[in-house]
Amino acid sequence: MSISFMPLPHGLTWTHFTVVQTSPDGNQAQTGYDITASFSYTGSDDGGYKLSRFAVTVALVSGDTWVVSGQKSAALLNHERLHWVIATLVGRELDAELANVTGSSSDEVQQSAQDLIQAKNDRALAIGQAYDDDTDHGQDDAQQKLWLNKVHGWEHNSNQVNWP
Amino acid sequence: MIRAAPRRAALPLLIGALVAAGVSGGARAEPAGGGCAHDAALEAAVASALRKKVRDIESTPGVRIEITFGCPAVSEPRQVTALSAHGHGGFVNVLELTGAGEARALRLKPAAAPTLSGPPPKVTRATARPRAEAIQHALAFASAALASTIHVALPPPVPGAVQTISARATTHDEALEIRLTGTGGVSSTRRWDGYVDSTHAAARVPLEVAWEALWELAGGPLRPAPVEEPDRAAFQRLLDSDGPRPRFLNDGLLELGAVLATRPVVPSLTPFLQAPSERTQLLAVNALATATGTDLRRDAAGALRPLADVTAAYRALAAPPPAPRH
Repeated sequence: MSISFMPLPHGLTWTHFTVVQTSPDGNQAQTGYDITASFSYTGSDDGGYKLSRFAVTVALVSGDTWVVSGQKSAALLNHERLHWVIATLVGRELDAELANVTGSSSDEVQQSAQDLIQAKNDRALAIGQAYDDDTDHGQDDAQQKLWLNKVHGWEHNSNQVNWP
Repeated sequence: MIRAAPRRAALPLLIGALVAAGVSGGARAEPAGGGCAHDAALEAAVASALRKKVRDIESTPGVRIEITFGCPAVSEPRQVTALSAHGHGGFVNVLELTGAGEARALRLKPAAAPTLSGPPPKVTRATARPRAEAIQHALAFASAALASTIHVALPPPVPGAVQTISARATTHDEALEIRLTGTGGVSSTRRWDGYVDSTHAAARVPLEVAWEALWELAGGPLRPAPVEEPDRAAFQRLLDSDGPRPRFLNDGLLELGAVLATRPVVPSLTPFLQAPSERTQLLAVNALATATGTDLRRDAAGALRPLADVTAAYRALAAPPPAPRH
């Protein structure tokens, strides 16, 4: 098991965002990230295959991380940062669960690994959607504070995401 | 709201079957044998547009993008009613192409904090009467995009070698809805909502490519201009159409209602008075004030009333009159 974050979960600042003059779709800011797993396929004791030497990286994608000029605010950064923290927490789950991926062939293991990665991406997005719905994309201050406390609670509970 | 299942590496995902919704009229482009005419040049151009968008978001190295085309759900589309919205303060867009060849586009920038007392939202708009050839090309392009199936295949596994699989996601959430109507009233509605990400690109990208082809029909830059009767009619068609919509899209539509709502949409607006979100309730109130022509937001002295009182007042206004006593 090995996981790395670029940047650290609470290390997201405006310096990571490219300032753009306009957004084609009108939104104020966007954060993009990759959840990536690297691994090898090796034979397992039962004659099948499993993953080995695996590593997970959750990394910002600079080309997909931007803010419209004049829109920077502490509230907007806090909102985007919590999306990022949620992604890193789900990345930890992926790292923990890759060890369980096995199959009777390398094709089957690849399929299972891809399914797991996509399921984790879906999970991060589903949590993010509930977060955006509840906070009205960060415009509801009271809900934003509730979500901040919720996610901090997960972090303080050994990074266990209590969701759904 | 329709969400596609995650794609799988081994099996092509029949996105068309998963996200097509509301095909009515029973007609499809394929004849009894199951085929339909394919325009190779058109499909090559559409495939190129689709492939570029998938590449833009795909982060797994070495993948192969396979694109195939089925038969359009509407064989000869002539009209379009479409809607898109982008979360995090993004635009709400309405697009309509009439059977008479008029294209109109409306755009709203949602207010960060709408109020009962604020001015109506600013709507920018454009109308155009494109050449028939341009309309035909855009409709064919959009139809082909919507009839496409995208499959992203991983490189084969090599025992002992290192493989990387990645999922890319963004916090950009968007909703797209495109309704094509053909001769005889045959229509098909496709919807997508979710975040711009790699995992669901196969479901999202065809609608994005179709949207962009159709949006170009409205022509030049959007400008502030008074709304017209056809704008109100398009709003009514959208509000009355079925299908659940994500909240940020519903809220955008409701905000448009403050300038576009008319009396016939009152029954569609009234349920939003009881929405869980106060923002949604407030937007519904502003739309109902326009639709009914009755402003119940202020008391007799001109002071703003509490939101709960105003929503109750509009519910009462919209309630059917009591049955006559005999």
